[in-house]
Amino acid sequence: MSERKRFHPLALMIYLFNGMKSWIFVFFLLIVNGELMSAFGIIALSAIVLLVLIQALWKYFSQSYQISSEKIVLYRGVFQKKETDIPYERIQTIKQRQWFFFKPFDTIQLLIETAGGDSTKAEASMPAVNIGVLDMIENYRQGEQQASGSQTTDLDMEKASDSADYRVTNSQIVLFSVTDLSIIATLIAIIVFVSEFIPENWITAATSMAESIWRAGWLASLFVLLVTLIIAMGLSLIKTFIQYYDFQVTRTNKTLTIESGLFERKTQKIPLEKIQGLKIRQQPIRKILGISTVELLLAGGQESEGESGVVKKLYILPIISDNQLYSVLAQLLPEWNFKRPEISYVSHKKLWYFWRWKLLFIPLAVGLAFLNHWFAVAALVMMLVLLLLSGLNCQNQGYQIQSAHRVCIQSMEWFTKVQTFAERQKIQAFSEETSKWLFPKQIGHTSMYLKAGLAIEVMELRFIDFTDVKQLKDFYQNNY
Amino acid sequence: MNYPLLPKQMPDRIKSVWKKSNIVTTGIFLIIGVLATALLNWFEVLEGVWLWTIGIYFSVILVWFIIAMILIPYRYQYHRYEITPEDLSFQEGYIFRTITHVPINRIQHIETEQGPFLRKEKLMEMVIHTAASSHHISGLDIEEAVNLRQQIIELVKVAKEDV
Repeated sequence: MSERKRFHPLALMIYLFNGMKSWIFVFFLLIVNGELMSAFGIIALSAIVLLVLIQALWKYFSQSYQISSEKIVLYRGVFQKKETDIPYERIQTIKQRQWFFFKPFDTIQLLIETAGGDSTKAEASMPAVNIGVLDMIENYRQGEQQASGSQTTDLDMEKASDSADYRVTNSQIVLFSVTDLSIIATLIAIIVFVSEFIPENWITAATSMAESIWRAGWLASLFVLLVTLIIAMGLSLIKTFIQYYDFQVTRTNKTLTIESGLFERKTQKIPLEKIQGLKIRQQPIRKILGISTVELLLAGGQESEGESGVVKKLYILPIISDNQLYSVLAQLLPEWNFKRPEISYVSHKKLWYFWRWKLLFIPLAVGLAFLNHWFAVAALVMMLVLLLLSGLNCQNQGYQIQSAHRVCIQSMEWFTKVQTFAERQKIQAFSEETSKWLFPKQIGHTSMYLKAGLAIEVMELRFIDFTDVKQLKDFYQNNY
Repeated sequence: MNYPLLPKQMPDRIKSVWKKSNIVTTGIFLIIGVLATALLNWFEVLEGVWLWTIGIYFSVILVWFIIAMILIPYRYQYHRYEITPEDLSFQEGYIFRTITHVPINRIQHIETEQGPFLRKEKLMEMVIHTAASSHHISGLDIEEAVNLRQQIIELVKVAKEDV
């Protein structure tokens, strides 16, 4: 049991930096208005610096932590004291961050997540601690695991080397980035940035420029659009590259370690028994290229929001070719006994059920045609998209009960094919649905609920035969 | 083959609760509709498309109200639950039928709720929370709800498992 300690003094630097960052718009304003060197500007600046400094010192000296053999305790606050206790067996994941300039100091940032909490913050956030602290936590945590009587496999014994079990090469990162459809999100982020941080008169200037371009004709504006897209792609490429540089996954004992990042090295440790599920995704472009993405589902408040509000996924294999996929997974998670799932498709002959309500768009479109032709066209286009999506789902949804305790559900999320693997004990609830008229035809829906992040992950199969419903229910009730 | 019905049924006082809450909900929607009509009339645009919209709005509410009222006995027949040592099951819905099963050892905590109508009939609603989802069982006798809660807590104690 260690005594109560403060964070590494570097934490102070981080507080200062973050404090300054939140005032950045003031600097920006001062520079834009040319008041940086005026008396007002200097007074304002020093006031801000002083405020930030006091805040940082206050924060630094009011926080401390303590690590004992059964839990981690964090203390906060001066007047209103706050104490957070985290027992080791409740840790869902441990995240370690290290900026390159922290390396010489052997200092890391530690974030410890549990399943509870409703904020997007980690339950325990240690902005700067010595690297030894992590080792200590890990020792206690894994000691705990051994003591709790979990069976040890051969793998635990033999695995001692430091080499990673899976690495992503630079060219793979490029491929991953180029085939990433979230470029659109980056575009939106850029637009938001532009509209928020660039002074009004610039935008008006740009708008009038755009107007003249408009007059210059379609071709020119198309060109501008293309250039914007290429820049967006370039930015997204750089971002992805920095984020996923030297991505590696290592399996030691009962823990998976995922590591990546160029300037800021991010390491995440995940206890195996805390994995709620695993998702293999394949969107159309990647399907053509024969590559997939594998994502882990963890419980608890991950800091899930990315910069542009896009939910960040926890990839275990961001990019992997289909013929390697299952062997690598089997190597990383031998307990899961990974094989290529033999999905039994459950709704191939039920297209009508998927389509029937959507066909109501046709009379709607006819009605709208009397009002305005374009409304009718819009309704028809919408219907076609819905028909396509539900048709794809109809063709692709299926399941396989892989063993007495694991199921794989395949379905479509928009145009992306998703296979979700889940252990029976992690399924929180099971529901079967039917309707008065579907019942005589012995057709129903099933949903299985998993916890993923703060939300619910629903594994759903629609319009399937009762025999399949029964199979899944038996699996879930352990009668399979 | 008949649709499987779970063994336990709620006390039939729940029917009058449903009736009342149906009336109140419809009343609220009617008031909103009346307000909207008054507002449109105020702006003197109560004609053409707007008149149609208002008409459709009111008729949808009325049809909905009538269907909901007619369906109450059927809904009651299909509103059931069951507790076994392994899981808690409950079903609802006559036209759209759902049966949900929650394993006892997945239950994180239980809440009880009671609105004014339920209180008048001495009934309670129980909310079962798992790590991911929450499920409502409405219309239990207060005594039964307390018993059920105790029973579930006893079962949860035995089946100790973590997220």
